[in-house]
Amino acid sequence: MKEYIGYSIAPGLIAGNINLVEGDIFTVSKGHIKDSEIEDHIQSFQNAITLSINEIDLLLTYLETRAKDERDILQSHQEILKDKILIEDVAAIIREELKPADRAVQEYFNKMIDRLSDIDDVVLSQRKEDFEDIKMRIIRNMHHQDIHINDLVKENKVVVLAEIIPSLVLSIKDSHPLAVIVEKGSPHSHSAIIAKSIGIPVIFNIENALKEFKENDFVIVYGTEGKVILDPDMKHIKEYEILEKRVKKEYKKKIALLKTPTFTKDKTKIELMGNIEFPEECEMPEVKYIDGVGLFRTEFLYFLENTFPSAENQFIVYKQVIENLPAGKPVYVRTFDVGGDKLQREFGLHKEVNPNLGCRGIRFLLKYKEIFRQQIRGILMASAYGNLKIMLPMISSIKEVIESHELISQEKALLTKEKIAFNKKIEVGIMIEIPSSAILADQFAEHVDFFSIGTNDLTQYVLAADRNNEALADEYTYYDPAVIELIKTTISAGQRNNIDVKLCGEMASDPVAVPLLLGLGLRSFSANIGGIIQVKKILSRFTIAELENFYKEHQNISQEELQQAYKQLIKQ
Amino acid sequence: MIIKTVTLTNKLGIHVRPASLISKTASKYKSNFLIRKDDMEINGKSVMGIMMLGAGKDTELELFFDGVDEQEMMEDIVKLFEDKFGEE
Repeated sequence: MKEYIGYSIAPGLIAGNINLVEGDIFTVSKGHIKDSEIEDHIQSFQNAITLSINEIDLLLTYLETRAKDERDILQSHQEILKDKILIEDVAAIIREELKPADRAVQEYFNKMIDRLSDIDDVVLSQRKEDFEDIKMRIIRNMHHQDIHINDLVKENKVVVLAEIIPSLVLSIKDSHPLAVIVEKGSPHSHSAIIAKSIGIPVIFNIENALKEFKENDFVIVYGTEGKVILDPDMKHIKEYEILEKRVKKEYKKKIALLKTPTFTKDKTKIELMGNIEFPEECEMPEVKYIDGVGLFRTEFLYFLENTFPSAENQFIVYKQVIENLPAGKPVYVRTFDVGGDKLQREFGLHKEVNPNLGCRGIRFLLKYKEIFRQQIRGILMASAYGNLKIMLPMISSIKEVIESHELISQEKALLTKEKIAFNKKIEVGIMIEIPSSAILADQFAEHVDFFSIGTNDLTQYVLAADRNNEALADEYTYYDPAVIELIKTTISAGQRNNIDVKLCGEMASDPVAVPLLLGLGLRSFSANIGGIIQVKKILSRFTIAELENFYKEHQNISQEELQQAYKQLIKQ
Repeated sequence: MIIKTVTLTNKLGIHVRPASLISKTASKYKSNFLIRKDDMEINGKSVMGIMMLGAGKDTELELFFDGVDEQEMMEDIVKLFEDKFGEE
């Protein structure tokens, strides 16, 4: 018997036999390249750098602002990827030593890693992990197009691999393994996020797993603890049998809870939806069994390929999301919320001193109408297959709404002419995240089908406090009375004009803020996947009347006291 | 050219964050910036280069600033070291 510990990526408990998959995904090319291939290899390396930088941007939007350590690590990796000298040095290896791009990256980083290993300083030599991570990210992004190993994965086995990439996670899933063990892999990766969604235990970083395990070895995989036991003794097997029953029972309880419609204690129906970033996340029970997807961020479509995909390619993705959900459940597709800071080079935009106040969201889309049109067309085409809605980001003026409606009408007319099916009554709504739209919510309501309050940006703009600025951690708070006032304004404008008001910012995932929002009149929440169970439990604990009274009694105290009061309330 | 000797006083030495801070600050200036440790000399505008130094706590470094805005650059960079990169 032997025990191995790695990173827990996805929970679960399972026993089974090993299936070694020795694909050569991360083996770098051998030999030398020809002079005529130099430029192609340099280009492929530079592309991989851009994709890696984009991938980190994407992960940063995925990580909540609270995950500060993870954000810091990823941001420092991004700094390294942006290093001009790194790019020049690797290009020089390709050009002068005629090494293939992937090999050049590997050799360059290995040299760095060796050097750091020579240093006595413990803290610094630990930085090796960072370089390993960056190296693998670049190589992964260089290879990511052409991998087909699903033939090697057997059903009902515990699959062991050297490395993993997002597309591989998905193809493995289709072969129905019991669990996945990976020798190397970063918890801060796109693969890790996707791996969480496949519903089986996944563990990264079991060193030398391919050498330590043999085909058909019997193991117990503890997904939650990140532990694997090889050749367990009778004591462990008996423990496993008991534990497995308990885990199954808890899982059933969780599913049952998710499937129960959400009501407050006085039986007021509440809509509870989830925020997702990748289509695969729809398959997680936390999304599948609740009321739908309240925010589908679409930026990954751009970031993963470094280009805006065509309407047809987007159509496939939106259709996949809608078809993964039970029929009729809504998906609120937020159109691209990207800014000039990310796209400067491609679009020849001027460098913005303050990108958060710059050409982002709807402003970017109305400036680059072809990108917007392609996305509208993609969403419209998929709307024939389910309940899709269009949600416009960063709206600050009614003019933007009217212009967007015009483009949507034009795309509808084109589809009608081409006899392509779509939902003619597709709902179009706006994010309320810029103070101007909250202040004039009554006027905006005449032009849209719903509001969705984005508390992250709303808070940042009302208080002029960057939410990623550590020095402003006390200033940036959605318990601020001005922020709450604008949320109230928006909710009551929605009620007066008979349109739905939703809230999809981090506030909807904060168990302390949920009772506050209920008391303010909010009846639709879209939470982060990790927070859904907790929010669901909180929603059922109070009556609307008691929360309305609670707010009335506490509305004139400071933001710290208000937050404290609600903390106390949910503790009771 | 200005030459300046500094000693690293922050607990963690030059890890990724200080390295990126130094290179970012240096890149704001036109002048050349080299860092020497023992017999190793690297470009101070490169995160990778700075990391390569493997400079832990109490390491002595020589900084070379050379160019039109060397004075301002020197002041800005030396301040980073004095502030221990805002870490402690």
